[in-house]
This record gives sequence, structure tokens and C-alpha cells, in this order.
Amino acid sequence: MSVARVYHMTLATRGYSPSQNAWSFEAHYTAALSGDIHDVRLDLADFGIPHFRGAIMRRYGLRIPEGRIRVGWEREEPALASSPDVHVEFREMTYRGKQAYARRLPAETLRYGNKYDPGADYDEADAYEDKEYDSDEYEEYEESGDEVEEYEDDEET
Amino acid sequence: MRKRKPALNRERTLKIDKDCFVNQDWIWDYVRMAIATCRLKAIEVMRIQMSRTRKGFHFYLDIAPPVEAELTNQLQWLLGDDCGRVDRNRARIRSGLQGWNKLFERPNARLRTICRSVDALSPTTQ
Repeated sequence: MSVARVYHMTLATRGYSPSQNAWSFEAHYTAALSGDIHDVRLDLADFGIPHFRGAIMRRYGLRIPEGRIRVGWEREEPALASSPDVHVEFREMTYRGKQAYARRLPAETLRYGNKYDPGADYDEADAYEDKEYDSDEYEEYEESGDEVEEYEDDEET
Repeated sequence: MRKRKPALNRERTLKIDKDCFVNQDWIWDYVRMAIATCRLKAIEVMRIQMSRTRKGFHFYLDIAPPVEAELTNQLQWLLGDDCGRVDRNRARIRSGLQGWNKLFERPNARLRTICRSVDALSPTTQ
């Protein structure tokens, strides 16, 4: 039997918010799976992309073409055992000038191997008490009138 | 009422993105500088690994003891991590994301150990 590993996959897309700030939406998928690294990465991306597009559709009513979704992988780590649960954390990032601000959205737990069904009601993780994000945290960053600059997303590869 | 933020795990690894190609002797100097910088904060570097990327290098520094997320990000910034990445990490930390320290690797990326704690000041390979 092949070794189980923890996979960290990030799907992201970017654009502009209604207030013309650069904006991006990130989903961070964590799964403990076994199998060949290349195959698992491909399978997990195939699993995650429709879910990611559905999440954007649900939240913003936007249809994102697959070509505008960026997929990133971190180093795999050893896992004790594989699990069919995939934990997903969402962050909405806004850029004002060169500063980034993240907004936490409710997390989800998916079942790996089940095809994503947009009509299904997925578990929202009980990991945090404040499922609804409290925007007070960012009130200190009121619009500063900074010029909006292009979001350069060449960070992590 | 202000809601509680989830506590983030302490980090054992610093991840540094260097989008620049340099000579090997510069990398040895970087290793020495990284060890000295961590010591300023009473942190020992146990191992340094690196991989080549399209644009330069990734460095992974295993440290002891594990440190809080804010200090991890600060150390990464001190060690010359990509500034855009530092900023995004800062935002992710503030939003309570557990796996905030993102550094993407190609599937076939090879990590090379260039330094261990016992010979921290004398790199393992030439």
C-alpha cells in the first residue's frame, strides 16, 4: 500500500472589487491521501476546481473560466493515514495599494471522491466560533485614498 | 462584541522565496547570515534545505523552538523573503488561517540539504 501524505492545494482567482481595488479569492484545500504524488495532485485539482467555481458562483454570482484559476501546491508532508475528508478554508483578499487584507469566510469539509454537487449542503466546519466574519478587525484600515496598483501574483512559485 | 480569533499553531519551519539567481558562495554567506539573524531572536537553525525554482531559490529553515506566526513572518522578512508574499502572509495570519505560510513547489522539485545544526557554520556540500 502506498504512503499517505498531507496535500495542501491552493486555488485562487483575481479581479477587481466594485470599489476598484484589486481583489482575489483563495481556497486552501487540505487532504490526507495516498497514491502517486503526480496522480493525486491531478485528481485533487480535478476535484477542487469545480468546487471552487461553485463557491465563487454561490458567493458572488460570478462564472470564472477554468483558465483564470491558479493552482498551487505546497510540499507534501507525511500523514499517519489517509482520509476521505477534504478541509477547505476560504479567504477573500483585497489589495489597497500594496497592502493586502484578508477576510475569512466559512470553511467547508468535503468528501473526496464524491463529485461536487452545487445543490448539496456542505458541512461548514465548526472549527471557529465566529463563522460570520467580524469585519471590526479591519476598521482601522479605512480607505486611505492610495492609488490602486496592479496586483502582482508572482509570489510563491 | 469583538469575536475571538482562532489561535495559530507555532511554526517549525521558515520558508523563504528568493526570486534571484546568485553564485554558490553568496548562498553560503546567506546561510551564515540566516543563522546569525535567528540567533538574534534566540532561535537555533536545525537544518536548511533549498530547491531551485524558475525564478531563483526556495529556502526551508527548520528551527527550534517553534515560534509564533507573527515572529515567523518577521524572520522571513528579515531573511529577505519576497515582500508581496510577506504582506499576503500578514493578512492571512490576521484572518486566522492555519496554513498561512504558503510556498508553492513544482511536483518534481528536489530539496537539497545545505546545512545541519551540528555543522551550522560549515555547509555540507560544495
